Amino acid sequence: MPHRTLEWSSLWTIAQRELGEALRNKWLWFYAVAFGGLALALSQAGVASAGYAGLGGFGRTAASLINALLLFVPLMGLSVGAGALAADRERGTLLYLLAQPVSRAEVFWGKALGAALAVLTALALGFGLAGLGLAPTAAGNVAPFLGLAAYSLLLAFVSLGLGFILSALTKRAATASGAALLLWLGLVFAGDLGLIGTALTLRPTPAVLLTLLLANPLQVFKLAAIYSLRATLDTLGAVGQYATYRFADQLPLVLLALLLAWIVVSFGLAALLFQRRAL
Amino acid sequence: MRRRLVALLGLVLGLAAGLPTVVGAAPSAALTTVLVVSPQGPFTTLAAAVQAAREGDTVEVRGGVYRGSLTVAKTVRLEGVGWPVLDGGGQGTVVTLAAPDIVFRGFEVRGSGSEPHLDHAGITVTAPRVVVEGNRLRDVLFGIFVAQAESAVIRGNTVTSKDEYDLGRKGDGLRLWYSPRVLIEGNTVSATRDVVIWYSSDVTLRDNLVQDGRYGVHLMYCDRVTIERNRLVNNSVGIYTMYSSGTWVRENVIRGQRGPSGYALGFKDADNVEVTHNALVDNRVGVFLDGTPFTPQSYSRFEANVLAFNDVGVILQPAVHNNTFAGNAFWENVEQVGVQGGGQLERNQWQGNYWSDYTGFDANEDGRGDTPYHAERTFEHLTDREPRLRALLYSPTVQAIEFAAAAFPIVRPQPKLTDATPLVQPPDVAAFVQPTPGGERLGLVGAGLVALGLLAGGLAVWRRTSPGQEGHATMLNCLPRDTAAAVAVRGRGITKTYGETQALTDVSFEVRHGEAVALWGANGAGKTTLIKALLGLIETDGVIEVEGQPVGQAGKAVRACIGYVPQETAFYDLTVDGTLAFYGRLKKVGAARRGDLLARLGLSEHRRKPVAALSGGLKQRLALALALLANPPILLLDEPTASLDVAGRRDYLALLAELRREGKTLLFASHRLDEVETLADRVLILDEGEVMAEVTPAELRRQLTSPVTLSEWLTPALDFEVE
Repeated sequence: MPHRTLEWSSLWTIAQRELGEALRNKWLWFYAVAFGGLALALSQAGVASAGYAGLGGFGRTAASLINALLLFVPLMGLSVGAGALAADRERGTLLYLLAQPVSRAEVFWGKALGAALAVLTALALGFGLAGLGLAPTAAGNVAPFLGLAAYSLLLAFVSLGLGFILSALTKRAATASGAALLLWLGLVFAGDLGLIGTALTLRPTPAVLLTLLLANPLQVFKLAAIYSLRATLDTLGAVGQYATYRFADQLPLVLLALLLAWIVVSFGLAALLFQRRAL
Repeated sequence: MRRRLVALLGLVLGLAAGLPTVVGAAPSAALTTVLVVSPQGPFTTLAAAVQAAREGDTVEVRGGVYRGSLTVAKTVRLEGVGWPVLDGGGQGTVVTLAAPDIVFRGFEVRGSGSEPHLDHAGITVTAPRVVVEGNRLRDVLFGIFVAQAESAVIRGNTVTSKDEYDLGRKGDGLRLWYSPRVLIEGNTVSATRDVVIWYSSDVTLRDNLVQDGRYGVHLMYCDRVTIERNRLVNNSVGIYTMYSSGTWVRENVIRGQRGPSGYALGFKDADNVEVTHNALVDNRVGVFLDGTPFTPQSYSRFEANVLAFNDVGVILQPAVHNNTFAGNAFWENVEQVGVQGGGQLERNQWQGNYWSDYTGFDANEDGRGDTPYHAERTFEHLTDREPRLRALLYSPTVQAIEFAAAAFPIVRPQPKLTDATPLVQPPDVAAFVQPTPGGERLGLVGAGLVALGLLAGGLAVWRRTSPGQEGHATMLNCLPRDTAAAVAVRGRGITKTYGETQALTDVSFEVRHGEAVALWGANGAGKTTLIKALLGLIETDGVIEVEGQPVGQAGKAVRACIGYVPQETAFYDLTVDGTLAFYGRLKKVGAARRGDLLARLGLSEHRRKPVAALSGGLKQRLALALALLANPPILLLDEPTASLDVAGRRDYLALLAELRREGKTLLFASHRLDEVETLADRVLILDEGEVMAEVTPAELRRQLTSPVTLSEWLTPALDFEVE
């Protein structure tokens, strides 16, 4: 029987090991517990406010939840991704693994699948615990909650892919982690600050601002998350209204497609780099 | 002629039918008559019945569909029973009520014309004191149009416009034009353009529901208007008042106004405004004020309202002043108060409101905060200056900016407003505000997500056990291209360059089956690079074949023929068993084979130990066990005993010698003579990436131990020569 380049059994074996190792990583559980607790606390605060007025809505509590997601999820994805290849390379296990009858593609995609499952585990448990915590109060709608969870998962995969790119480019785990932190800062803060400066000085049109926003996967997630909670982006002012006008009913599909594109491109680029890079 | 006869007959029959139902005497002592219209008669058309009716009579219409437009020019009561339908057939206005004191009740009116400049409507009222009550209007451009008709009552009607048009092209659901003292009560107006009240004073709107339209209520040049207990839901704008004096807005619920401006309440150049006990929820803007109050001696008061979950609670133009906000609850609006274009609002009164973002305290427990509330968020200041920056709302950057402003007060903007006595508890919300429905099996979803998380995590330990996998080995076998070939490994002109460093230069060699060949050389001679090349881990120039298969194209198949033992063992954080199982699964090796290898290499008693707890010798044995998992014909070893002590090296070499006797092909890097002498048939001497010579181990020994003369002047008694 010929040896295929991508064999599921080898890929899955590597994925399982990667998943097992990721689940033994205390940082992953820290992210899961911290995020779940935060989501629960913020949601409870939202419930408390809804209980006051019986009015529910999209105020600062929901904004805080999106804020927390924008901070935690990329950090989790980037750090898990950045360590996936670089740490193995540094301790020599990657070389030894590649000396076995496996292809580089099996190693890469196995590691990617394992890391993705680890992130899925953490997020599902975090959101699940938040949902269970909210259940007794019987407040909040299911669809937006699930939408937020699904988009968070996509954002986690995007950041995981970006982390894999860094991991493929670096030899040492510490270097990869540092680069991941820098990228996180760039995505979370630097990009937005640049956007603020641009808006105040150049006063670009809403179309240009929207384009700049959509270049940042975190902002794409934000737009998608707000849309899933509100079914409109008009809360974001002229840019949100322009997005709704420009894409109409296709808007959620556009945002979903962008996130998926980020996932495909980031993992694809990481795979290419890993394939070509010398050990 | 025939029509006239039919009409005459209808009149006679109608009178005959009506006679038995003559109702009590009118105040004027005149009898009122009920004329019945139905598909079965006595009247079969409304026009005929109306024509036949006298002032004050009642025309009762019992079911049926009546086509064409109807104009009523005498004071009658038109009562529908069983929802008779008046269908205009898409032409003009369906019903025109052109006499005072007409009562029009219980009809379904549909099918008006579609010309907005001709005001095609379901019902047009042009006379005073008309009552339009309990009708259903659909597929009409305008709904009910009251034109220069005072004191009308529009009550309990349901109005929708033509579905085929967008909001701007639809007509108004209700429209008052120079019509004072009108009562609009208990109507439901859905998906029409506006409810318009222009040039009409002393109007009351009460208990209406206006939804999915453009302007919930639009007032212009209307004085003394009362708007109370209405619900305005999902319109573009809630209530917008222009150039009017005396607007009293109380106990309304205005939710989800999210058009381009999205004001729940907007006032432009309005005087004497009182807005109390309203709930303004989830709108783009709760209250918008422009030039209000307009004249210096007038007032504008907003008291005891709830402004919750709006994008902006209140927006004021910078020049607006003399408004009072007292006792309101500003609850979780994304921006509590905004100033369009930036600026301060100190010329308005902010007293005793509840602010959900107030961070002060109430030490004396009087219900009022002991420190003032300041609206001074830096990002709000930025969005007031550049509204398009709202696109960055909900981003952590916003919090970072606020944090920076708190840490460095010099960059903090001037507060937009100050409430010196903020409430520390929100006021009660009026009972008329209906709670948001919520709670749709969230617990179930949460449990489902937890289960999903556990399932995903559980995949780490899930194994699909099958006989082929665990019981009987179906190993990932080496598949030689030519089973009769004598050569196991062949290299021709192997060259590798790292940058400017030449790691291998034109290396050529062959290793035959069953042969043991040593790669001899100092550190940096190129041994490890050559081994990586043989494993297909680096790209090189030249040709490398393992079992007749080119390494470059068939790396995975090549590696199935090679058992590799690295110089420095590097294992994952697993037990001995776990490590063997992981690599065993990659090579499709069953548990029995793993057990045999553990026993053979003396690792059985250590199988449950973490690899990290093993000694260097045991780790090297484990590496050899892993290399032998799939019983490959070739073993490739990179200085296998470099990290072992003397005893460990002796045992390890014995193991390798045994494997060689069993027929394994050995290619190993070494710089230990004893190792080479024990195992090797031939030795390739590498130096700076080149093969300098190919010798036997004995020749190597001779080269390494060629006579050396050491001469030293010692004491005469110890003088000797060493060879």
